Amino acid sequence: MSLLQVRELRTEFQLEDAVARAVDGVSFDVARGETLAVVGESGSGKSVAALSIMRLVPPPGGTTGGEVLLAGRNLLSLREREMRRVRGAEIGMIFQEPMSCLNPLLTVGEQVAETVRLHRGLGRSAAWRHAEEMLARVNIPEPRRRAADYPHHLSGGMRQRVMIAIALACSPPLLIADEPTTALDVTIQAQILELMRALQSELGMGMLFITHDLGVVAQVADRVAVMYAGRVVEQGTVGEVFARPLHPYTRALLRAIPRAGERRDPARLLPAIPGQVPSAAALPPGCAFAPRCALATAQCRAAVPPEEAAGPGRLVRCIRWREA
Amino acid sequence: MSASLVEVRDLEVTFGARRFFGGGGPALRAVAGVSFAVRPGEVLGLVGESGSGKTTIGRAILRLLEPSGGAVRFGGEDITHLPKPALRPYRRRMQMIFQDPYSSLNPRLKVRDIVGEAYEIHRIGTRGDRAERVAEMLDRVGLPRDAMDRYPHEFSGGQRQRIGIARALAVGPELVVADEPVSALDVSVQAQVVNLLLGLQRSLGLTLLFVAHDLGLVQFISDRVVVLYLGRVMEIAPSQTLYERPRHPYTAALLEAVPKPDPAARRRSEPLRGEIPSPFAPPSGCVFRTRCPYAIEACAQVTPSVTPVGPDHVKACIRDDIL
Amino acid sequence: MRHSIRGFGTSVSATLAAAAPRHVSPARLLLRRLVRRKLVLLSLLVLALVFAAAAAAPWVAPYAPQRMDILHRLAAPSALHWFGSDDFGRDVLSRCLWGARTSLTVGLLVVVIAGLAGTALGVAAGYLRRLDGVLMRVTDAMMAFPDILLAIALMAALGASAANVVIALGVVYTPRVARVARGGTLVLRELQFVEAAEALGAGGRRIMLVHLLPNLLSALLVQCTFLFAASILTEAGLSFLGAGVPPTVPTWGNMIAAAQQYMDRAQWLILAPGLCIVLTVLALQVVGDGLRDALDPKLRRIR
Repeated sequence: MSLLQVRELRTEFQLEDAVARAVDGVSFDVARGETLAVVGESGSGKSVAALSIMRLVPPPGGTTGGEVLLAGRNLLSLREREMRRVRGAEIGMIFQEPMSCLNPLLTVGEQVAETVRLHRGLGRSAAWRHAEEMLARVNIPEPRRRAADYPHHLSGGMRQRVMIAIALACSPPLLIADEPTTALDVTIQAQILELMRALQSELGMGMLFITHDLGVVAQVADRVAVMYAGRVVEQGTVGEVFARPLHPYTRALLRAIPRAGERRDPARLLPAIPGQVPSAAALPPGCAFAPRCALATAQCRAAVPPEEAAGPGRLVRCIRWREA
Repeated sequence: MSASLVEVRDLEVTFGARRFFGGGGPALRAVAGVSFAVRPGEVLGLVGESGSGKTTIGRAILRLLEPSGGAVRFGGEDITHLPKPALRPYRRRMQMIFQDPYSSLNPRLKVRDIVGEAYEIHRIGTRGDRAERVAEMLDRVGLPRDAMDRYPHEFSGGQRQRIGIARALAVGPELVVADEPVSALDVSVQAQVVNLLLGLQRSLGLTLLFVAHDLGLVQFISDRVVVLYLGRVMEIAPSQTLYERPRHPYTAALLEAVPKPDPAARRRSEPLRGEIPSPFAPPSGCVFRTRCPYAIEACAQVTPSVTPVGPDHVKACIRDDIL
Repeated sequence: MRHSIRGFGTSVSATLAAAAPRHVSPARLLLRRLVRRKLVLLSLLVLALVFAAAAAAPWVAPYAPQRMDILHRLAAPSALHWFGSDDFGRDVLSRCLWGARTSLTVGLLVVVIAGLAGTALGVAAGYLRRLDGVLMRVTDAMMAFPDILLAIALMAALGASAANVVIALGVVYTPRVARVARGGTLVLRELQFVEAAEALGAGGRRIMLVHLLPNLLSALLVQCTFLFAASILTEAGLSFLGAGVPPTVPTWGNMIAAAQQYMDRAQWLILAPGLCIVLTVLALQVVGDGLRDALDPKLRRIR
């Protein structure tokens, strides 16, 4: 029932003096009607992975290996012309900065209508009506009037709703959202997340949700894949991973978040992770997290740990995951 | 009240309007009558979303922006309208840590010049002296001494923030305004820098004004919290009280809206409706009324004043029968 | 350095950010980037050659520039006169070399004057808001005139001499530099490190000298390279029109002016100084382009 299957995806960037392995053998699935969150910090490769799936990696980057199967078809082997038909119609995309993704010279309605005209071949008035419907569906108040507005007339939250409307205009089976709420205020973020959840269950879409915010993951996702330095280090259902994180990185990350209501103990500070994320151009030979990991051994540093199964649908990339 | 280090009274900051050689614009009231006090040695959090004015307040206290009304008192002295030369000695007593690690350090200066700039400006110590002081500051913020001769681009975001902290603390201020100091950093690095700030605050006895939009972080780090919305105070309370018993609808909504990293605690109630109003055209009466689930007619007519609701706890809401 | 890949914001750049080179000063980094392109390297060498030749003219020129060889007037290039001789029998090669001295010196001085004045005005306009309106209207007015027209007008007022050419061109090009400096200042002013300096108690002068100016240098350097090229061209134009350096001193411009009447018979009289101008100006433009590319943090080139 998997809608999207990513297998051993690899993407590299050719730089002046080095090769940056941004995505280094990433595999995960997204099922119909399910939300998979890909969570990681900056430099984890999560955004590059999403771009690789959509074949939108900008030069000097390029996907060098793996498969991306959408309903059985390998997207990496398609010609650009065929891929263009996939984008928008079979995969909807939402990015972080709505202002730079919306054309400032076209009205909001025109931009939503454009998608259906392109992919469904609808005429002008039919497309416009559909655009108004979509704007209503994403809870934009006074959708008819708003359709004639330009992007700069709208607030950040509104623009993000427009992006969602554009992405879902052709009812694609898969939605890829790359940090869609990161730039929004927290009360607006709550609205948008609720909207996305509602639309997902209405349309039965699969959703790939990229974020760095573990709180958002807990609220929105069914399953989660944690990425670090270009690799997936842990996968499982959200309940499992948050209740019983198996990878030292996941554990450390969860501990390092200050939670509202937790009183600061003057003697105890936030358990921080020492060091920093390694550069994609200079990955350590073994486990990428080893330099910062309290449990690291010589074997960890020697070879990249393979993904091990720790239960049904539960994967960990660590040789010492059994030690709590 | 004289015990407070900083006192802000009815502070107003308005942007826009008159220009000599060209048109003006509509006036933007970024801060519209804010009052609070910062006690010596405490960590006071300023929290709010876009348009709340929290960043503007921090800068107004430091006189990086000119207040358009109200007063700012530092150590009992009124510094609201002091001319620049008279302000100079105060610059050694209050400093700022900035948000963006990539634009808050001059790319053309070495770290030693960045951190030691205050010594140059205020003519503190001799040349040899200064190098030693800079080295000490770097130690304090957890950076190696050889960082002195390197350039900002050689450091990561977290390290750059440390340099920024070293710069702010070099001159030995009493008050430090931290303006979203970790928002631009990764979660794993945020914790490092937060710990550093807390540690320094304790060991140096600093008074910290912590400005941020992340309520979880602000609560964790602060003794008391000021909640702002559209340039006005909604609620001020001790951190724990704010979480356990918020008395203002906006605070409650904010707490609800923060996504908690706990899948079992998925939100059940509806999120707050509506958009944040434009600061160019704030609603009449209570600015929060357009989104408030408890709004009544009177809310549009009367601007609520800040009233006490408990020990050290105030709110700006005319209704006492909710929450 | 922050490198943002066009189109998808900083999410991708974060992946590449840490690959920045360590322990290298921004200046050294720039040089490395600059000479990476062969064309730029070549142009730098050409410029070095031209400058060396101009500097060494008194010793390297085969003849004195005014020396008349009556027996070989209007002679085509030969072993005796490598670039030929003009209607007075003067050696074209020597005159080109000495002409280089004049043209390059004028160009350099103009760059220095316009550079200093323009930067001072531009930074002041950008940082001190009160001056901005007035200064910009003045520069607008000046830039409304085509360079050469303004230069001619100034030369008419000042009188013909090499020094006056420098002054005239200096005035003509100052607004251009001022604009670039002002634009850069407006951007830099909003950056947090300037705010930080203000918070530390830095006065306007310190901010302009320590924080604004060094960060403007790259843009100004690029502008000055183009300016150098422009002043060589305009000086040549002025001399060609007879409004520039008096014909007693050889410059590439007045050599071409004098050669007009012999265009059908002695092409080398135009070709030699003409090629000198073209080569020098072209090399300057290429180096200017190269500098601009090397300084642009957004272009992270592929190997």
